[in-house]
Amino acid sequence: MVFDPNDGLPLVGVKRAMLGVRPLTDVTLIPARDLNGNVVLDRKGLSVNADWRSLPPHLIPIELDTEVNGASGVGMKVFVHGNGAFAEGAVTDKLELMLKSGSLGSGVVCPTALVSLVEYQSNLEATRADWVEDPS
Amino acid sequence: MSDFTPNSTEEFRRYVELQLSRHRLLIEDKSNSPELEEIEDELTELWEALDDVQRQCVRGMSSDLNFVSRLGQTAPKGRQSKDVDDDDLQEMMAMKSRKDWYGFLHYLRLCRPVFVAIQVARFRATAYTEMGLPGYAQKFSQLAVQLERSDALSELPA
Repeated sequence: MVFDPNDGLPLVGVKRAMLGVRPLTDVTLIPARDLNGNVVLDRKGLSVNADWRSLPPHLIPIELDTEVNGASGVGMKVFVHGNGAFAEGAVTDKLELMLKSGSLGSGVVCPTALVSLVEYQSNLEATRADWVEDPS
Repeated sequence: MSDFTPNSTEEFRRYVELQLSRHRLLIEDKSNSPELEEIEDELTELWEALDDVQRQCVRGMSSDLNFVSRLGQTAPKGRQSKDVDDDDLQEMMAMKSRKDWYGFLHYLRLCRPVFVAIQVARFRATAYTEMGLPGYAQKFSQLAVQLERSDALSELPA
């Protein structure tokens, strides 16, 4: 995830690899494409992975390049949230992890109930301090 | 061919092409450009369509491009010379003899620390040329020339 050099924590925003979702890409809105609308509960949201090694090279920090793994992400760090198993369940009281179809290693953090996009983004932002850099 | 040779699917070819375009944008310091964002979004989508061999291959190619960006310096988490064993070196040379270029590049990455940067750049230029990837090959031949020049300059009497 892209990080804020001021405090080393994930950068909150609506662009790729930030702590937040891209409104017209990562979620379905109702009314469609209305940024003031609600987020449809359709297993879409903030993408996360069980193991950073399975990510495409441009999403792995270049500082982790081994000459083989292709790591070439710029301005990024690998963050983990919590220490439980990578399984479907609550992330906070307003967010939950759902696995992507046919995958045990990738999922999305999505709302637990119908909320506005603004509230969903705010709920994601509220987790910011809980993300820690992956030491592995 | 060895287990290192990927199926040349449309998605694979597109990924390889975009990866090089991304490298060029980063070299031009356009890491915040909309163009880069577009490329990375497409790379993320294409990634899902690649199989394990194709993924290993594009990962290696991405690391090879990092080598160009670092002007031949060792990767931050790369192997040390002491980690390179004779078996890997022999495999590398066997792949080269068989003109199995994907396999050769794989073992060259593992054996990288025992070669000087100019030699690695030349090897890679040859391999990518043989693989029919002139855009990649050019990156390594240009790096080889650049490294030769800086070596020649450092040998000039003060």
